[in-house]
Amino acid sequence: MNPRKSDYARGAWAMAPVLIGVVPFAMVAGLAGVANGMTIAETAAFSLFTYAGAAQIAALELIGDNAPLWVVLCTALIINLRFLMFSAALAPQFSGTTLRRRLAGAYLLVDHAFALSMIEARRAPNRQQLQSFYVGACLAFWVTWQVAALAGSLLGAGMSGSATLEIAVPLSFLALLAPQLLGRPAITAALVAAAAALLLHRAPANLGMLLGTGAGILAGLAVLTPHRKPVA
Amino acid sequence: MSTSAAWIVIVVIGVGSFAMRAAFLVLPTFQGEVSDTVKDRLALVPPAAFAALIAPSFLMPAGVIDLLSPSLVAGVVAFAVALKWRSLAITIITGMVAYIVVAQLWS
Repeated sequence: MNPRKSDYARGAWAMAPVLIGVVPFAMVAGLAGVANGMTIAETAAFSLFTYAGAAQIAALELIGDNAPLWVVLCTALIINLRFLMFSAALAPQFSGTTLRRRLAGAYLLVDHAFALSMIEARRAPNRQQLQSFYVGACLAFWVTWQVAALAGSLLGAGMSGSATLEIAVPLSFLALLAPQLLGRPAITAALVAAAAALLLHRAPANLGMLLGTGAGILAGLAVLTPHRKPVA
Repeated sequence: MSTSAAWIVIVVIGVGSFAMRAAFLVLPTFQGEVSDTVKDRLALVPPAAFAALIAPSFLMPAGVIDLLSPSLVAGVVAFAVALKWRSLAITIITGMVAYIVVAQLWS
């Protein structure tokens, strides 16, 4: 580690490769807004307030299909239920900090930053360093997301999605998953979660992902040896 | 859609999403040091969540299980690269290159 680099910069730098996949994803979210009846300003507000691509795109597509309002709201909120789990897993590194830091950490929470932070935590930095790393990673993501989403709205229908760029999002999650597969409990959790998500892929509102995650965690807990660290 | 409906969507989903992100981070759920047992349990969240999130993208890109899709080949290559080099950039770029090559070969 370069000691002159601040922890914020290290976090932002660690996020950089992920942004390859984030740019097209955010542009699709921005495009989906104007394509489904929101104004550019409304779409930007949606990105600022909700700041969660999968939920935004799902909600906008439902709006485009003239789904009832409650279906739109429930779908997006169910997709974002995973944030509850991430919030719990991140809470230890934010315990005992100022309310302002915790509010900022919560608003900025996204999947990639959460995963990077959990990986970084294994290097056993102190809590302050880890928080700065997380915030740096989050801010790099946030700026990229908002700019690319706005660009997607402005370019509108002139832009078409490319399959090659679409694969970048799952690839970035795969790259974040691999280093977490240490020890039997984590591997079990991942395998069971993947199998359950595949079985449940037809469930509405991304419930397959949520239920798959739950099944994976339960399986991991079942093989977790009590009072011993998992083999790492 | 009407302006009022748009703002209901923006505000309700926005506030709800923030509430879920903040639930454990902002409320003082964990005071002081967290025990290793709790950390071990919470460490199961990311592998389970990300495996569930990406499994359908790689194994059933078109809605049915497809073991020869460019997506799965790219995923397998990227996974091997990720385990070997532990670099996000190398993993994502290799995966995208593998996807392009296989998609070309298959077409």
